[in-house]
Amino acid sequence: MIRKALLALPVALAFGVTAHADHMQENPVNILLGLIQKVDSPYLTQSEQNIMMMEDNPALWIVEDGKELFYQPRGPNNVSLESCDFGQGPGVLEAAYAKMPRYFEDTGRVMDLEARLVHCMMTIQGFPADDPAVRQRHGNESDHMKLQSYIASYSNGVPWDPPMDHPLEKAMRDAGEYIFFRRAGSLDMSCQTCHSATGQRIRASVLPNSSFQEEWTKAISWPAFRVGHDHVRSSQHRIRGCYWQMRQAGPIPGSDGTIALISYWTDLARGQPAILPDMKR
Amino acid sequence: MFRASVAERSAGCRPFRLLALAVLAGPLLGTPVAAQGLSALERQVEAVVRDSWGDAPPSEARRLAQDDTQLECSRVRNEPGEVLRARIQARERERIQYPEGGLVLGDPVEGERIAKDSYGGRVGRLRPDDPGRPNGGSCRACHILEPRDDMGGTLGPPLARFGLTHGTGPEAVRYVYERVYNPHAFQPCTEMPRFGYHGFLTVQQILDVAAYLLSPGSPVNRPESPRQEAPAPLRPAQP
Ligand code: HEC
Ligand code: HEC
Repeated sequence: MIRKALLALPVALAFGVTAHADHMQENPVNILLGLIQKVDSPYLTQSEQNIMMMEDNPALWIVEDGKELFYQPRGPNNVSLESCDFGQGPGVLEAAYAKMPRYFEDTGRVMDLEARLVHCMMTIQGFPADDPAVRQRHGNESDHMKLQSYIASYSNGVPWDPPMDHPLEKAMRDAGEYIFFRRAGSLDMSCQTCHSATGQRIRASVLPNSSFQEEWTKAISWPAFRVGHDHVRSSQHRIRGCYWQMRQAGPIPGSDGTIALISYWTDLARGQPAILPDMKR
Repeated sequence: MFRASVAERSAGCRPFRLLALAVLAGPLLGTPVAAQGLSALERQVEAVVRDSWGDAPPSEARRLAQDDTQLECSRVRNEPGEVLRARIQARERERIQYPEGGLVLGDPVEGERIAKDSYGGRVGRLRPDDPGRPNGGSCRACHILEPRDDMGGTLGPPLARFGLTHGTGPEAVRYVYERVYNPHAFQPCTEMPRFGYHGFLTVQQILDVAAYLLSPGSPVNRPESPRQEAPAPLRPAQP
């Protein structure tokens, strides 16, 4: 029922994105509708209202803000982020985020988008670690959410493809898998408790299944505008929220543990198109 | 392989204390994981875990420690073979403690409140719960509790009309009490939390919830027939 109505939408929405970011060829909602056309997923179709609203996703404005910030000379060094290498060469944003987390030779670490951005803001622009530009990671007004949304939008529709060439990339993915299944705390929970079946609900929310790729690609498509929060949120924010729900302590933002989880969850969605920016409940 | 990634993080801040740290200090419950022997990979990832949660205050860091059942179920991804099933089941059964006053149904009204309340136990910089306020059971997060319950989850089976099939006899009271106190005694590696074993709910709270599930007058056991199909979600979940 919902599904049928939604299938009529793509044509109408095809030009929706041009009013916003001109580097984006397609409105993210079209990527989602493509998936809905392909598979039957209660998670993907759970909010007809959100799908309708996605055409005018507030996150698209945040992407615009991010574009401005990205090219603006900033920080003590008064330079832009154009020389930052997200893995595809300095300043190359096309498809870069879909190929993260990845190993970076200059730091010797596997980094996710947030960690890489922190690195560039500090080394290229010269921001100190405690500058709000670096320190503040959450909320529509944060530089981080603006920049992450902008950079990620270049991977809209691009299949997830985190590299597994360097031994540390593989090791981080494996660590993430271990952590994903690691039960602990007074509710005996791990990520698997809530993300290993299709169509199950915690209260009224339909849970995404980590082994159903077409469903999982939407689940990991961050930044996304969270309607219930009225803010654009990041992968790191989602991890924190799920640990809070599990009654376990939150991991240090940007720690290896969090990047390992992101490496694993991105690997699980390999080959499926990213929806960026997405809209979630 | 892993050593490198942990070492990188530690470089310059604190000496990398290799695998000696693998086992978290002082697990609260059960047999300490240390006694069970971790594989090399497990020890290495445990070091990453310890490092990545390194700034949690001690009371919260303790939650990271796995007890025997948590570790064993994680290892087999919650699909224990026959031998492990039997071992976990027997061990968890041993861990059930009973109320001094005997198994007497509590207050169903209070039980309803507990079953529908998800308060308690959440920590961190993001909206921590007040440990002074009693915990809720979050039963509704996983179970449809009443015949007309649009907000119940489906991770567990629906409990609507539970009392109509079980009655209020001593066997029924004992079953609900034990099942909520320690569900691994019935279904090893279940998703359902060990509410009594962890002290997440008090013995009295469990008896209250049992009264809510079993009492003939409870909304759980209303005569309306349950809905045919799971209802559509109504509002966004938080967080
Ligand atoms: C108690 C159940 C529970 C556990 C355990 C849990 N999550 Fe979630 N998770 C949720 C809920 C509820 C949502 C929101 C789904 C929705 O709104 O439809 C969610 C959402 C997500 C999403 C994004 C999908 C979305 O639509 O918001 C990801 C990715 C995710 N979780 C990963 C994890 C990871 C990684 C872990 C372990 C660290 C974990 N979850 C543990 C309940 C859980
Ligand atoms: C994280 C999800 C979860 C939560 C929270 C949860 N349960 Fe369960 N429950 C389950 C699952 C899954 C089962 C299925 C059997 C099993 O695996 O143990 C179950 C089974 C049961 C059963 C046995 C049903 C039968 O037909 O015999 C009872 C009774 C029960 N739960 C009561 C409760 C109560 C009371 C609470 C709250 C204090 C609660 N549950 C909280 C997941 C949950």
